[in-house]
This record gives sequence, structure tokens and C-alpha cells, in this order.
Amino acid sequence: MDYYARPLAQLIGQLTKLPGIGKKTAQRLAFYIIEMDQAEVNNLANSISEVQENLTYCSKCHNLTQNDPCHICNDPKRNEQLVCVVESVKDIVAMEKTGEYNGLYHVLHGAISPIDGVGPDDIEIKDLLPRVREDEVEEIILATDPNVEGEATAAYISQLMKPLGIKVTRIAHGLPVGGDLEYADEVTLSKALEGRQEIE
Amino acid sequence: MPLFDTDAIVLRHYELGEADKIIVLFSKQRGKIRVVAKGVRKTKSTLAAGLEPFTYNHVLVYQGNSDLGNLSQCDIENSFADLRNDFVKMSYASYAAELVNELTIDKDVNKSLFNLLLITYRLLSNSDKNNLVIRTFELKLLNLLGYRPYLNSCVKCGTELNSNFRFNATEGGVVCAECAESWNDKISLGTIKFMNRLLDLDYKGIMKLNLPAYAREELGAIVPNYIESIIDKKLKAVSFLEMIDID
Repeated sequence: MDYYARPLAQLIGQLTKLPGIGKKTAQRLAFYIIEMDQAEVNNLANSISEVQENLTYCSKCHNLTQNDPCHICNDPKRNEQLVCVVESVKDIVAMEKTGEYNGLYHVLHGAISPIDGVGPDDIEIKDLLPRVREDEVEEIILATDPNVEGEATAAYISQLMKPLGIKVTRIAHGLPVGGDLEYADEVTLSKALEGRQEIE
Repeated sequence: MPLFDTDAIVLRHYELGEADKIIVLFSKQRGKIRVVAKGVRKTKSTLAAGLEPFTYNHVLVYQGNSDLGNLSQCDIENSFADLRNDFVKMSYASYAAELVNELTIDKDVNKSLFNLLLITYRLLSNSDKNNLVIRTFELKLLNLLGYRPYLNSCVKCGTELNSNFRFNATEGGVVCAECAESWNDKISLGTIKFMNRLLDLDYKGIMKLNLPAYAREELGAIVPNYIESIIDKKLKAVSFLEMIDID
């Protein structure tokens, strides 16, 4: 790094720590930042430090939030008897985009994975049971990813909830909209067939 | 030959970049290989379902100059969906995959091992004797890879078997009371005999057996310990099985 002036070398070094950014990209970004207005640079620097300082996890659903409890848990228009369990905060964004869901969430921050040694105690499962009991939840929707880890997590939670007699549902698996039946794999297709619905 | 096809079982995967994955496969014709599956994390990927752990596939791989091949097609032979829907079976199947991944080296062809893994997944998904299947798998795997535990007499002094034997993981066999060290696990005569039967019988014979409770308990501690001493690190699936309390 002797080719660069020290502050520049430092910035490039920090940028390479970000995911998916190598030395070349970091260099390009660093040179772009040098050309930016002072105000914009300040904005960028402030946003980065604010994201760390001002964000916490919602004590109820573990969503990322500025105020605890988060805006979803605080919203009186939402159905409190419905809880959707997701793996990450990004999944909440995906679910919210549908505009179809009006209940609350529970973010696990991970999924059970024996092969990586991630057990039920390593993700945010333990307070789901008391929460469900206290809030008199009627239905839990398991919206974990449709892969081995997600299925295992869903199976574990449904076992956990069985004694409570609450309705536990799993989101459907099937064909993507705009997809082609001919190219669908047999596992997805059989799941789609299993979950077929009568046309009304 | 840049393009090749082979039968393979998915052992595990790592995420790569935005939408790709590196898949670790145990193949029949090429041993353990690593391939890149492009775009497999997108919802419309047609490869995704075939690349879930435990799936038995016929894959087509382009192997350029790099060590990592590029996966271009996969046809599912058996997805072993039952292993994914049952929490306990899934944990055991993960354990089997981790053992194969940890104990083999890349590109070392071993068709018997491939068949062993395949039959283990078949039996796990079709029978209820999960414990028997997995204990048999461990021992037969060790046997195939040259780590068969020595169970005929004391591995140190040759004393004949009696009821005061222990299992010494670093020596890879049973030791008599004189040669045993304090940290060696206790092993009963019945368990030693049961281990020999699991090693020598074929699956038809083994599936008629029932794993007695004492052997279940002793084997569940001794064999994973022995394997961990071979690879010199902790197995993640073992700690997982301990955590969720199914042995």
C-alpha cells in the first residue's frame, strides 16, 4: 500500500472489509469519495455511524428498530393474534412488500443447522413460546426458507408449539410466477401439486 | 476432459457472492468434489432443489483450469425429502454428511463409500431404526477408510477380552484394565461383540438386529469420540445432537 497517501490507503483498507468488495473496487470507491462534495461525504459518514448508534433490536420481535418496540409491534391496526416467524430482518421487508400480511413478526436471526453446529439455543427461539402464551396468539405462520435449515427450524418450532394447541402453518412451496412448468424441478413440482387449490 | 458427468450426493454448501453457492459433492466416479452453482439462490433457479443437502443427483460439471468445477446440470435421482421433513432424521443425515466430508480428501475415488452413504440415506428415510443405521454407518465408514477399531483383544498387550475392558480412542481399540488410562471410556463385552457384528454383517442381517439400550449409550459416546480423535477436531453435528438431546 505504499503507492497511496496514508488516509487514502486507510480508506481503501476499511472498504475492502465489506462483503463482495475487493481491492480494485475499494480503490474505485475511494477515488469516487475523494471527488464527492464535502456535505455528501459528511452525510455518508454520519449515516454509517448512526446506523450503529441508533439501531437496536425490538424486545418483542427482534426486528431492527430505532424505537423499542418497533413500528410493526406498536401499530394498533395490526392483528396481534397472528405471528409470522422469519429467519432474518430482510425477510420482513420481503413479506411487507406483498402488502398481504397484517400480523406481527418474530425474527429468529438464523436457522437451525446441524452441519454448522447451530442449535435452537443459538437463535432467537426461546422467547417465542412465552410470547405466544402471553399474547394469546392464535396462529403462527412459519416463513423460514424452503431449504434444509429452514425446514428443520420449522419442524422444531412446530414441535415446540404442539402442546399449546395453537394453529401452526407453513408457507406454501410452489412454482414462481412467470416460471415455466417444463423447467420446474420434481421436488418443487410435487410440492406444488400437494398444495393445489380448488378454483372458486 | 473439461465436461464430465457423475452420480453424486450433496454433502453441504457454502454461500458465494450474491446468488451463487459452492456445493460439496461426494461423487461415485470422482470422489469428493467442489463445484460452483451459479444463480442458485434466486427463486427461479432450476438447480436449487437438486443442491439441497442429502440429495442424490446425476450432475454435469464443467471443469476448466480451476480447481472448482462449474455445475451446469443436475437430475435428481432421489431427493430424500423424508430426511428433511423429520427433525431427528435430518440431524442424523447431517452427521453422516459431516463425517464423509471430514474424513475424506478431495478427489479420492471410493465407490464403496459412496454406496455406503447412499444406503444409509435410504435406510434412514425408510426405517425407524435411526440409531442402528447411524451407528452401523460410523463403523462401516471407519472400516472402509482404514480406521477399523481393534476389538479382538487388548490392543496394547494382547490380553483376551473380559468384562473389564475400556476403549482407548488414541490407540484405536479396546484395552484391558491394566493398560487402560483413566480417561478411557468403559465398554462392556456385549457392546464389543455388537460392534463386531455391525462390522461383519451385511445390511440385510443388521436391519434384523435391535440395538440394546446399553450398547446404544456406550456406542453413542465411544465412536464419535474416536472419530474426533482421528480428525483432531470437534464434529459440529455431534455437539448439535448433544444440544438437542437425541443420542
